[in-house]
Amino acid sequence: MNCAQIVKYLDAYVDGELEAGRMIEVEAHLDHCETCGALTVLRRRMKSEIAALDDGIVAPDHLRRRVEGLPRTGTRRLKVAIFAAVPIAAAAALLLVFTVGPWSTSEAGGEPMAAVVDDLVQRHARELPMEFKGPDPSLAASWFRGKVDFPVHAPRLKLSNASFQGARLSSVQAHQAAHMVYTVDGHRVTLMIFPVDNLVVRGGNEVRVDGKNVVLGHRNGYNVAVMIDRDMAYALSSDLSPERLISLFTELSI
Amino acid sequence: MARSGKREKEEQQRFESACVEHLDALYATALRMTRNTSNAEELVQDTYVRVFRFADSFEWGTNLKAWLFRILTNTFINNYRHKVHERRYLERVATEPIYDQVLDSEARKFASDPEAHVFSSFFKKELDRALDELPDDYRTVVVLSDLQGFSYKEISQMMECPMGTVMSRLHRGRRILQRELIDHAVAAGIVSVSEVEQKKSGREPTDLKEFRRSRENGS
Ligand SMILES: [Zn+2]
Repeated sequence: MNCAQIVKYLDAYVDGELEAGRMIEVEAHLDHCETCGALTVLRRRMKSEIAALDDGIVAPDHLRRRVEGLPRTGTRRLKVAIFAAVPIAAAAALLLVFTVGPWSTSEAGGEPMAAVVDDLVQRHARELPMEFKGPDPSLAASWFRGKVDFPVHAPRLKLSNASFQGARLSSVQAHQAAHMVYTVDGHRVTLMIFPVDNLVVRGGNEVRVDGKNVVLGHRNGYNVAVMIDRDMAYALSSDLSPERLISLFTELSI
Repeated sequence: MARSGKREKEEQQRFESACVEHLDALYATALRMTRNTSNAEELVQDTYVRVFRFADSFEWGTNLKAWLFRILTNTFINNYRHKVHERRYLERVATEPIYDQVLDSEARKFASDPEAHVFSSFFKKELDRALDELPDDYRTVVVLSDLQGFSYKEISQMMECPMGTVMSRLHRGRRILQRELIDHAVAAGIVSVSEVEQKKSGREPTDLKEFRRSRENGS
């Protein structure tokens, strides 16, 4: 075996994955070739240094608690429950009451808000699996109880063309968030509820809806509308238009 | 309640706590994969949602850690990994034959250099950064092999690709790391200047610098 061939087998040799016959050949070469020997030492050292890189990394406590609190949906004997969206009984849509002010763009707080919008759109776009399955949103509120340290009310559905898909625990800028997914007019809509104490949710386009501030944002083809009410943020993300999202605050009675 | 029901429940609890025992390792790996704490947390949570949901598909007596990492890797590849076109481009750049030859001769020179031993004190920080900068597929293979100690066969099952692909990604990934470390040693002045000149003259400028530049422009 020559030096060029050794390089081909070096990874498997260092990983202990080389078959016995090849190993003998490699070792015979290493016995008399200094540079291949040096290269092997370098590779071994690199491997052991990499192996120790993450020593002492532990999962944060809040993640451990979240994992330990996850529902055991598919127990060792229960079959996986298949979720089917059930259409909600028709109910009259409420009259929309909001005023669209002039689209103001304020610069202060624009950046932190951008980070929040990034998170919201990312969570929405990924179509993450739900821990709690629909179709009854009123059960979701109790599911969140004890899992998050803020009040969650899962909006009831007043629309004939909307259904509740499910809920999960999530995060916005490393803050815990209640994540709920609805389908409206065939479009997926994500509702995130989270406390705003340490987050800047301001700037960008702001409108007044029912006397409350709603901040609008968009990213990667998705629109985001965030309503702030008593230190809580209610954020809707979807590919629906901003106007439609704003109307949903009222229609879903958020 | 029947005895068998009680035993089943105990078995289930045993299974669940065995799964949670691997939380730290899964989190550390998720952090390597996503390179971002909030995405890592999200990835680990998604993984456990699936773990508990598909608990039925785990067979006792097989390797639980490998099974958990298979779900983690799958979730990462399907939901978090960077876009395909970017990956193809990087693989193409990193597999230029000229790159291989240059790396080999440089690494040999470097490894044989007695001064290279000073290098180990710089190792950790540089290696950490270089590993994080590897393309997703290469990084994932290196992490699963070197950090978590999985076999080629286990990794091929986790990534749902042939063993040959695992081996070539590992090979490429480690070469890039090796090269980064040598560059670092040169920059830190551990290897003498004349040595640098010697290396520069024998090297095509189409390698890692180019690779990095194109990656920056591409993303
Ligand atoms: Zn040799």
